[in-house]
Amino acid sequence: MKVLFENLLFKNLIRHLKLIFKNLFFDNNEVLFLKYCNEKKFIKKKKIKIIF
Amino acid sequence: MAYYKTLISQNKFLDYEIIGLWPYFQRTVRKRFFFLEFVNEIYLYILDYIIFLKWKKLYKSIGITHIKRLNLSIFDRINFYTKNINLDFFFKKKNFFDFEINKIKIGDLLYDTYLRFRAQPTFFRKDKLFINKLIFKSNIVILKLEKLYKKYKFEAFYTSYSSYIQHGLPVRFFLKKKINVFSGINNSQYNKKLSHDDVSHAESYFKFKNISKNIRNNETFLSISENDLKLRFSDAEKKKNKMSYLSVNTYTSKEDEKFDVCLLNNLDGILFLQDFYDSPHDWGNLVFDDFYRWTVYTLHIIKKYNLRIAVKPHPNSWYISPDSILVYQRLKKKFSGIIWLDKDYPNKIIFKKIKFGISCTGSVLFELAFHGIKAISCGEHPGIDFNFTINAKSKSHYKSILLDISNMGLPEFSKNDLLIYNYLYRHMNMDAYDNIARKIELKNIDFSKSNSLVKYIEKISKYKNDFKN
Repeated sequence: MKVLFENLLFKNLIRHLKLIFKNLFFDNNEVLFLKYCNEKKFIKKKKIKIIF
Repeated sequence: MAYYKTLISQNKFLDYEIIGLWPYFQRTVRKRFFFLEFVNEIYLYILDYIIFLKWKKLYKSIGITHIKRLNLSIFDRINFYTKNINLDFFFKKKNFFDFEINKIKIGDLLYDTYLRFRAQPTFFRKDKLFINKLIFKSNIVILKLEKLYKKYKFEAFYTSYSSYIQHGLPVRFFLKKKINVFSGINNSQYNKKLSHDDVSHAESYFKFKNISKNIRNNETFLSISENDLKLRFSDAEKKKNKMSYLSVNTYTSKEDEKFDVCLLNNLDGILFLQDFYDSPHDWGNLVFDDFYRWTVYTLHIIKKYNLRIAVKPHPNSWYISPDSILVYQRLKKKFSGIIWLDKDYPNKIIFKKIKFGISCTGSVLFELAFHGIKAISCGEHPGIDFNFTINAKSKSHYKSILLDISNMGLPEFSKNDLLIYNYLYRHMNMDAYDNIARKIELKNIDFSKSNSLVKYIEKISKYKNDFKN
């Protein structure tokens, strides 16, 4: 029981740490996407608003 | 995000200011000891904020500079609560599906949200703390949406889908405000205009029968549909063959050897289980409140009357819904006298052996009918008007079908009906407006991993280059 508990705790801890780190930083693909988007200019006119 | 990037780069959006809406105010909170649940909520709140910050940067890069979250400060919450103490914050009504706030009916949304975000296969009325919290949060969301609406006077609301209160509530709120609401990708569409009568992002299947009258003799459509089905039920390369939402191919025969065919020898039918947490009310009303109640009822009938029906779990659960696996294991233990097939057991083999198949609303119903096997359904599903299933109208009707299925014939439908239905469900262009996403076939990219963004860049760059030339 103790081993099971420790295993579960450890596995969950690792899983959550991975999740936090994954969301703290951008991976290579995301960096590429950001670079691609930032090359484009956005035309912004305050006229009518749309919500996503 | 790639979808929105494609959308807002279209000319018709260039003059608009776009406001982002971050609707994820509720993450999955499993039932635990009160203190542990409280700690978990705090952790999820922090995690959600970290995720929000990352996505905020990504959305900013595509031109959405303002993103609003659907939450209120603790002071606003207390203020709202004290001012509206008489409001219906708590669940008192007998029928949960009739629950509404500000005359917006959200019972079905709350039910599906409870299943997914409480990780419970069915609705537990005794879980009052969480249910009332969902209702209170729904009130807060409406208050926040009112504030945003007054501030920005939106012209349109675009959303990826409309399930659960996170997405469904804003959809219904803006529809009530008479704002144009559009949803995103489904099986056949890249966008869809929603209305009071049709609040779901899923295909408007109730229109299929009428549309089919005009296209039922169209040879091109029939041929596309036939080729699509040939590929779907063939041994073709895995990625090309499978349904977009399925994580596995149930029609490959590459690993057929490892499955024991003798298991099927004395069987009449198979019960195809569905994922318990996957918004059961997306297609409409069910005979049972949810898939779990339907499953348990069916298993009891099989056990009680010793029916020769085996059970096959939904293969997707192993990839997207680990909670379902635990429920399958529990049910397998409880109903150990029933044959439980492996989740990967190929339908190709099953269909050669059985006389009928049972699913509540699953896509396997169509597959059964296409192979000339009786399909028993138990609620509103996209093919309901095409009469290719024996659809139960009530629990007692369902029971009588199960007990008398061997004396029942196949419902009346033609191969043409099935081909037309498949075309409408998977191929017919019923988009509300012209879009680049369809032109670059955005649906073919699997966005579950970040490398999809690179594939997207390749596709959109190629499209732009071709357009220039």
